[in-house]
Amino acid sequence: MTADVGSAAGDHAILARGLVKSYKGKRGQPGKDAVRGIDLAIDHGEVFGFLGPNGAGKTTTVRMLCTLLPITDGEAFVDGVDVRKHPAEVRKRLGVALQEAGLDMFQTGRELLTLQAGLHRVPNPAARAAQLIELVGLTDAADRSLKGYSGGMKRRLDLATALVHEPRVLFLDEPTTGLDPASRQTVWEEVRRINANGTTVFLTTQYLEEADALCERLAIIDDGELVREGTPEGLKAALGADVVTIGLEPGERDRARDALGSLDGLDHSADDDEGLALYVADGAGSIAEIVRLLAGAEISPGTVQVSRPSLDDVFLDATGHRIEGVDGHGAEADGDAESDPSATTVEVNA
Amino acid sequence: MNETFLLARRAIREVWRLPAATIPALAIPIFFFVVNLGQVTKTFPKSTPFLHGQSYAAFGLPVSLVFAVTTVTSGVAMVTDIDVGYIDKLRAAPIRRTAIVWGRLAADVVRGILISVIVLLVGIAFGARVSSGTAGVVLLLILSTAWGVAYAGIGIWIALATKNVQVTNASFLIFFPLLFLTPNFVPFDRLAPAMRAVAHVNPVSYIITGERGLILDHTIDWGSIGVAAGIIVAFGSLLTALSIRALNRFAG
Repeated sequence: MTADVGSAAGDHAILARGLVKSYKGKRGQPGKDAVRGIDLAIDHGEVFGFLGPNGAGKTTTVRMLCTLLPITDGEAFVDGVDVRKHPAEVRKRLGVALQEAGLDMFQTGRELLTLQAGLHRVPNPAARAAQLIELVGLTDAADRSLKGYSGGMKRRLDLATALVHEPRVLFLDEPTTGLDPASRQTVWEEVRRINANGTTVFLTTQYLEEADALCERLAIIDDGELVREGTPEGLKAALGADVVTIGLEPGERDRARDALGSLDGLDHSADDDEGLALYVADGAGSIAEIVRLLAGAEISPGTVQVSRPSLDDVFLDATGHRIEGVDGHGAEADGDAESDPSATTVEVNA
Repeated sequence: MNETFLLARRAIREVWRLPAATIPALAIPIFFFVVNLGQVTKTFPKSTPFLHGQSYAAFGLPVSLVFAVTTVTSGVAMVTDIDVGYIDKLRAAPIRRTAIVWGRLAADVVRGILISVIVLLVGIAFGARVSSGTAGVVLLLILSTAWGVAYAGIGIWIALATKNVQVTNASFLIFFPLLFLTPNFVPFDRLAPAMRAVAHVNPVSYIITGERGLILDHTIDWGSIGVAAGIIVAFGSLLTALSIRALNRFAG
């Protein structure tokens, strides 16, 4: 997947060309390329999503862009400044909230924010801290030690620490992983508000719903490489109108694919963990014919499910596997079809 | 406000908020001090030549002072910052990264003064007197605190170089040979030859003998104080340089 990287670095909030992170192998073990030649061109004022399963290279990319991890190869610019050559200058322009809200448990929320504002040379750190405390709704807890904060409170505080200096570019690494739905909504609202004030937001997520809800554009990363890039709508539309997912026994997939080759309106099919995903013009109208064609090949599908294409389908199409359940995380193993309000799901037990 | 000052203030706040990190550093040396007195006071009465007319408490006090300030508390605090990821927040901030190390060492200054004063008061309560007077007391506190700050670099360096909580916690073991292969119990000339040879090359011996001189002698031996100060500066500079190098190479 190529981004427009020929343009001047200053025109973009984030620009990366051929970004690579390699780790040397230890004790004779082979090395590993965590990020393998990523190109990015993110405009000022965008909310850009980086969607991928655990271990895909999302965090590694963010850490390289934030000057926290040396870049093995390639180049990167944040707000027009070269990350490799001028890391100190880059740090003035970015705010970052990493995946694990890394906070000092012996301070209060107010002390932590005041310290962070002071380190960023904000003119009146105490006043800025008070302002942010109110903004993220931590007024009651502000003078308590962080040890008593809930996961959601810590995440909101962490977000506030990333905002003390009103950064030009904000990096959020999985900002809602592990949060309950209500806290997740609060963070989403906060991200939208920050973006409305002109800050470019680069966020990584393994939640399809989050990418769909927040991001104007997104890139799908798998095994260190970008495999798709575009708007959520554009990526889904490119797959065709509907997705029919058929549950099959392991040995039946190839026979089923052959049998369904003559299906009317079939754009293409992709292997699914449970069977086959068919991209067809009219999902509901195709069910009868699908069942008939499978019956002709003496296959009786376990389930037939029709939905609008989700980002998970985009992911499946691009990588050959679904993002969900990759890490065995219960919340997102339920499937995008259920969490995406735009999907119309018909389940047929054949 | 300067970033070193801000990070120092934060680290010092932690000294007050986490007394559990300071109390053992204080309690264990005081325990050994009192127990040793009970064991050897009869063996080494005031008439013992190397006690210069004082009780054994005066001879043992510098060991307890050095023992009490020799901690890896700052290293443990640093590795905790690394473990929870707070260090990344500091590394992503537009500050001189050396301030992260200086801030921690500032807490060691405060902790060192606090601990030295308390141990000194315990020593005085058990009959030790600082023969060299007020100037001697001030020098004693300065040497002890400075040694504590210099030694803190070991923990900080190991924390930054290994990023490993267990290794950093275990690094306190380094102080055993450093502290006990010294003339801690009797003077150099009473040690067995092999032990004496080791004690002579152990830099900590000279911190103890420098401090001991201030307690037992009426005049200040600037030569011994200079040697102790030189060792502290050299030791501290080396460890701070190693810590800063590890921080600059830190890639989380």
